[in-house]
Amino acid sequence: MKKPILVVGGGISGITAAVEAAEVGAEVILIEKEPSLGGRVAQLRYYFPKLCPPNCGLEINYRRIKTNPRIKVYTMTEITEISGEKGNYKVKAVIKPRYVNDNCTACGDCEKVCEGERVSEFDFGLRKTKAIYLPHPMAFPMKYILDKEALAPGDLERIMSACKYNAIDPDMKEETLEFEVGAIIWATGWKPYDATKLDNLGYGKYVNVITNMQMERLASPWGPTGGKILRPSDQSFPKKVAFVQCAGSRDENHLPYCSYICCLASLKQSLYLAEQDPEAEALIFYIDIRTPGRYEKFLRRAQNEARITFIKGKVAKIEEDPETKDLIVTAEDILSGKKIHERVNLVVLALGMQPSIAGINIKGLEVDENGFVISENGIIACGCAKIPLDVMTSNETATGAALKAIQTILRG
Amino acid sequence: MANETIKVDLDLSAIKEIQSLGGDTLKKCYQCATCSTVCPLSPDEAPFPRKQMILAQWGFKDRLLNDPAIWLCHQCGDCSKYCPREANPGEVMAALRLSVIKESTPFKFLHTFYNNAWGFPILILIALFFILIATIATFGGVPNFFDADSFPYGGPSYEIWFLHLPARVLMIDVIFLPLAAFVVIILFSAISRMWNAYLETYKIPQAYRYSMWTILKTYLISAIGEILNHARFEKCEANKWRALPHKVLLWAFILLALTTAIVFIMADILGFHTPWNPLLHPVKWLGNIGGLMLLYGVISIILGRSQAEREKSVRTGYPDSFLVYLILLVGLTGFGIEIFRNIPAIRSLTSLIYIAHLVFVFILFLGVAYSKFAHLAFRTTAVVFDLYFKDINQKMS
Amino acid sequence: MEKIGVFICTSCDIGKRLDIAELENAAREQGAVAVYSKEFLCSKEGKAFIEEKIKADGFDSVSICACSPRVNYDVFDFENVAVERVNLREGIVWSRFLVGEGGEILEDTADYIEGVPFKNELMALAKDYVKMGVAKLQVYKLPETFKPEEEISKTILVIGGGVAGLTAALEAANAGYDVVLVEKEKELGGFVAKMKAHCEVKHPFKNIVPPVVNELISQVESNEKIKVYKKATVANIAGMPGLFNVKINVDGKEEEVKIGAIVLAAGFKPYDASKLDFLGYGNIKNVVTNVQFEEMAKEGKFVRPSDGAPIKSVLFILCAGQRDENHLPYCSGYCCLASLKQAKYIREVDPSAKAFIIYDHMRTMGIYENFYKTLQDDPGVFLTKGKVVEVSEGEDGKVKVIVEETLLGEKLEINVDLVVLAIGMVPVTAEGPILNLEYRQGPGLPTDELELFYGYADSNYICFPYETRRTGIYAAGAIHQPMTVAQAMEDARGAALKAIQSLVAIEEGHAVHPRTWDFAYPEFDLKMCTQCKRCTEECPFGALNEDEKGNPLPNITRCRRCGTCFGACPQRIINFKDYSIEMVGNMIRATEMPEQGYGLYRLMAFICENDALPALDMAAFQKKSIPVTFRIIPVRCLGAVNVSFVKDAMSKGYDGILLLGCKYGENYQCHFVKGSELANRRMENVAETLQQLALEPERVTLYTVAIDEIEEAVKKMNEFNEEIKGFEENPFKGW
Repeated sequence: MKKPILVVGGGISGITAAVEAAEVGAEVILIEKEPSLGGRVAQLRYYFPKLCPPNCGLEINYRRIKTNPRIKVYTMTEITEISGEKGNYKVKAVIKPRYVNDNCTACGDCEKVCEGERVSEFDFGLRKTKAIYLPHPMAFPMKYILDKEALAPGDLERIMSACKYNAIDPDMKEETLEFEVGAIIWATGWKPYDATKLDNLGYGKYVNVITNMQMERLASPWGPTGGKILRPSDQSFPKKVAFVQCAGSRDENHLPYCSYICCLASLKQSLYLAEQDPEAEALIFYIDIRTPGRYEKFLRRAQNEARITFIKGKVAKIEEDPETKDLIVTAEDILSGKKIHERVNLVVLALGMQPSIAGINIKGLEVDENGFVISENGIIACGCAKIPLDVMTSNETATGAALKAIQTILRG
Repeated sequence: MANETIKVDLDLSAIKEIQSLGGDTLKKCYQCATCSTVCPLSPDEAPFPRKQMILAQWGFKDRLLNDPAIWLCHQCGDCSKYCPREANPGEVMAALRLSVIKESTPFKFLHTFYNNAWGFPILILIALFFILIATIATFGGVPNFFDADSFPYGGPSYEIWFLHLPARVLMIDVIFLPLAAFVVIILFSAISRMWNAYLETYKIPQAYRYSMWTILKTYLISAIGEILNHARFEKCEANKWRALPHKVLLWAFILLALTTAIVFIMADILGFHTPWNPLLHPVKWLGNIGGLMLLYGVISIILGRSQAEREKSVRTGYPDSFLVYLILLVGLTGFGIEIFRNIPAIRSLTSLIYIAHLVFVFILFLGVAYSKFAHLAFRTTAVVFDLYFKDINQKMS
Repeated sequence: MEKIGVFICTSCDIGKRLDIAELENAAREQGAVAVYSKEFLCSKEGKAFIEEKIKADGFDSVSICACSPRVNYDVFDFENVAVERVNLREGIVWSRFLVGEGGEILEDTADYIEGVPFKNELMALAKDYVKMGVAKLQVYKLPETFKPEEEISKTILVIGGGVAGLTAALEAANAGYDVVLVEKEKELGGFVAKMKAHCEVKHPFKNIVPPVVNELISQVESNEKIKVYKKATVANIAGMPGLFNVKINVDGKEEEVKIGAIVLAAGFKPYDASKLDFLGYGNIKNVVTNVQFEEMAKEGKFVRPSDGAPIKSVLFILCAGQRDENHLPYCSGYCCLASLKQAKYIREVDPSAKAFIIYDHMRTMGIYENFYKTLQDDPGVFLTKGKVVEVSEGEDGKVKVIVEETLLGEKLEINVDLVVLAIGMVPVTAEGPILNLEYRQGPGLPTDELELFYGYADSNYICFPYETRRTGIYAAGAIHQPMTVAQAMEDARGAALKAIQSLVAIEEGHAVHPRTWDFAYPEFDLKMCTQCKRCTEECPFGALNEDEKGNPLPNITRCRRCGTCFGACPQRIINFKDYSIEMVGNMIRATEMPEQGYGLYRLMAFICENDALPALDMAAFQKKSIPVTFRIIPVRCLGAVNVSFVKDAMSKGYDGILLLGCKYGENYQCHFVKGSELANRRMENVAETLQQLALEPERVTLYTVAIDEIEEAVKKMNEFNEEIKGFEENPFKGW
């Protein structure tokens, strides 16, 4: 086959599109802006409805990448401009310096001697890592990365002498690349909506109001609490948790669309609670419970295995008890027609998804009013860069996108 | 309420009417109840406006007419600000209030005049008509409207019974006393109908249906107290600013009413006749202070609304702007008379300003029954009922 | 392999904790031609060094004794040279420590037991690993790719001419493949063609558009790469991917075609509404299904079935049968949208008409919220959540519907001209095999799999929605999952790609996902076969047929290389070139077993390389300690653990054997569906054998762990180690 296919985004959709296309014989360039592949799913503890760890599928896909010479992976790389047309695109990309070269064996000696620390965005600020760190235990590539800003005085000397393989290169510079590709698969996925914009829900104001993605990190055995769900204020297990559905989603003031996964995510997280304490209570405040298709079975499972109370009525007011740091959530229980005020230990905002590139303008890329990519002939969007989706459907669109891309490079 | 089955027999026109009165967005509501929660006034037991929204969507007009919640809403705008569907519950509630006013008063055409821009000139003509008739009758023919000493400060005087009434005073009396009576009767019938409807809607047992007198002395006093210091209004979040000007305006009206009353007694009955020196006469001070407060209140409302408009916490429809600008005109012309009368150069134009003033006052008076202004009576009633209902609820439980 | 070179890396603590010279000797003892040790093997210099030695010494295979095969995969890759990765780093120096009472890590020189320093055990382990590496290569053969004699067909069969089938056919054709499309009706288009309109399939997702299939049909019929059979069904499918023989029954006559791969897009049937009499269907004329209403709309006659009077009001009952254990336990995913759409129909023809929609949860997923919004704005559409408790004949031909628990806080009585039941979809796979496969395991998709998904031909893998247990056959559209038109089109594209991909794999001679890179395949030495049929019964992918005598007939392109057959065979006659009974046997034999009474135990662990092994690797990165007693042999799947492994290890004198694999059960995580489950079943026979030998059955244990259960995996290995300490030494030591 002629020109390569460029896959933008190394999350589950991008990875899927890349391997599926490459296994049909296409040359594929896979680029990811973060230091490791994996994207959002790598931050999840479990997938619904199976409650299986996403890393299991990532491991298989990484192996498909490793054993496929047709795939080239670039991490820490972002697209700045697209020119040309179907079958013949020129794409400008920037590679940010990692300050760690391919010599790195991930032996970890540098991390031991490093003193400077940085907030981990992988854990949504719930913990710190050293200034030189491994993105996560299943990082791909399995290489360290250095955050120069976070270095403590003397760190650089220490880590450089600790590294026996001259892997640390503080003088690395930002590079610009230009790819010539036949088709582009756009799979940049999503980011959680900025919860601080929901000014009536107290995120950033009350310490025990967290987001659903933070909940995933708290429940993850590799997460900041080693998998124990502990609320930020006092590191105690929250016996009663309120899940605020449609936090930002289905809201003309924020995200006018439904984010597809939040209902299922909250059900899943209720099961996390039940797993750690069968007595734990979950209050799910919803507008509509959206468990399409056979996810309905998952809804029933959650109802049976977790102590969930469903309240139809959106939480629009949250106050904090300054003593206990508990929260009082207010909503109208529509089915009874009365307002209720519930005291809970933790509030989880079922935060909606926003396209990762929302607000970023990439020359040559057509997006809709919300930042979702509109596919046009040679540029094929898939996964949550296209519309809000769950993982399974994202991968269906990613596989389909691979075929579209192959058709494009075949016909040129 | 929930047990009995209600038969759905709705006509789209009811919905279209609410939409036309400013509730055009009501269909956008998808019942998340954010509004009821953010509303600082909605009570836990019977939250609004979420339920009113769906009742309106389904065109359950009569249920809404008999729902005090419509009036307990002070259009703070918190609901509209946070509404995820931009359904503007605050505006829908306002529209519902207008339709309640319409439904509960006779001569509906007047309501139409009051709530559509094209109706304003008609209202002016109506007012002029009555004023001119009265003028001709009391001044014994058409006075010279370009000479203040011919009108209003001229014309014959009448000795009726022990009363000594110059034409201008008699004129005012013959116009406004009947008008006031008319409005009072209309509102009273509307209110008592509404009250009974409330009793039905809330299924108040006979034992707790007190006499009007008991109701008034037990609840009206505290209701008026609440209203005078705007206890409810001040809970508003999104439109906090509205409480103060509205309060000032309310007090302005009270002062002006007081002034009018004093003037009525002193002039009409005791025969101390105006004009009085605006700078020296204490009653004039009272009036002037009232007038200034009126202008302050109404102007800050106008400014505040346009600000809130931008923050989309409130939307100003014709009925809203009609009322505020009408009040503004009343205030301006009122002062206009004083000013023109005391500046010799333009004194000759006083009568025209005077007529204009009377016209606007006339429209405002009548508006107490037909414009948004009617909330004066309806909201008070609803507040009284609210207090009454809470009280007997306690007694019953 | 003849000429085996061994390269030992001394970096990453290997040189620090291990005696390299001893390891070199061990490798030589085992028969390595040459042994080299060097620091930083994965560096450019290191790689160059290896390549140079390969040339100089003419190695045909090398054993890289360094880090885990999961890292530096691209570095240690040499053309036409077999590479074995001996995991000294994660496998030993980063994961085997002498842990003190307080959990602190002690010096290797400290005593492990009285008089035996830990270092000794560590070295014994390391030597065993180096030897196993060589032993493996000694038996290893370079795979020869599978090439069928017959010519491979690259034609794709699409079953079903609905929106999914049409899309799949077109997309495959546009990628240059010939397509045979089989449609049972006399016209193409399926359900969507019967629609008046549907929600648009692209941005802004808020209007209704005429059926997309109209365009698709004309494209398909004018495409010379696509051969369409109408009024046709698939009578029989024999053979295997690339070599399918498909008999098509066209209007009574049978035709035979050569097919490479198959897209199954036979779609759905509406749920049988006659079972919904509690909603008035069947008893009340003016109660119809959404399918019937769609027909009315298409014809444009909105009149009451009872008396032909014009319809002024319609009430839609959502979830009519769906989400109901007695009917369809699942949500059909499209009915909410469909009802909103149908409400629009009636409103468009008559501005005074009223449409009532009674829902439980309004499920306009994701971007379809836009469509919900447009419909809400219509003053004549009345929505409420609610429970329909009664549907009965009302006055003058109307239907009386009583709705409870409404958002209005009232119990409502609504009288309408027509009630529309939004009934759900049933995949045709729930009712028949459709495929009519000539497979030993049956004509349809595996029933146990279908049962997991209410008859949908769905995948149990969230990451791999097209996973199938019938290689080369991929489901798409409403037979795959309940879905909307737009999703069906996306889905069909994906399925078409998977079909094409399977053909590419066959051409290149390797497996398809998840062992895409695997060129080896099982070879059967039938002389010794006892026709026990375990392999043909257990193969999770139905790859094996049987001849009349009961001998297995392998169909390699159906095979996924999981090795379940290999694991099942009591005669040990199934082997891969690069993975064989003999190979593992040789590895076990290569290890050193201390004499009886040495007092220290030796444990063998067979560990699944998909999830358990990565978990241990990560444990090593976190320097978590697993007992030094364990010798680990990675396996492709627990299903590929032959009982002979256990026998060999026991007779060698291993005191305990641990199998670590993926979770099984309803939400199984085994990448080969049945592997770990079957292995667990086999453990029962093993237990018996052990008892016959007067050994405790607990000596052989199977645990399951997920890839993220690092702590768990380590804990279980330590627990097993402790448990075995409770037993006597294995009496077979030193036999």
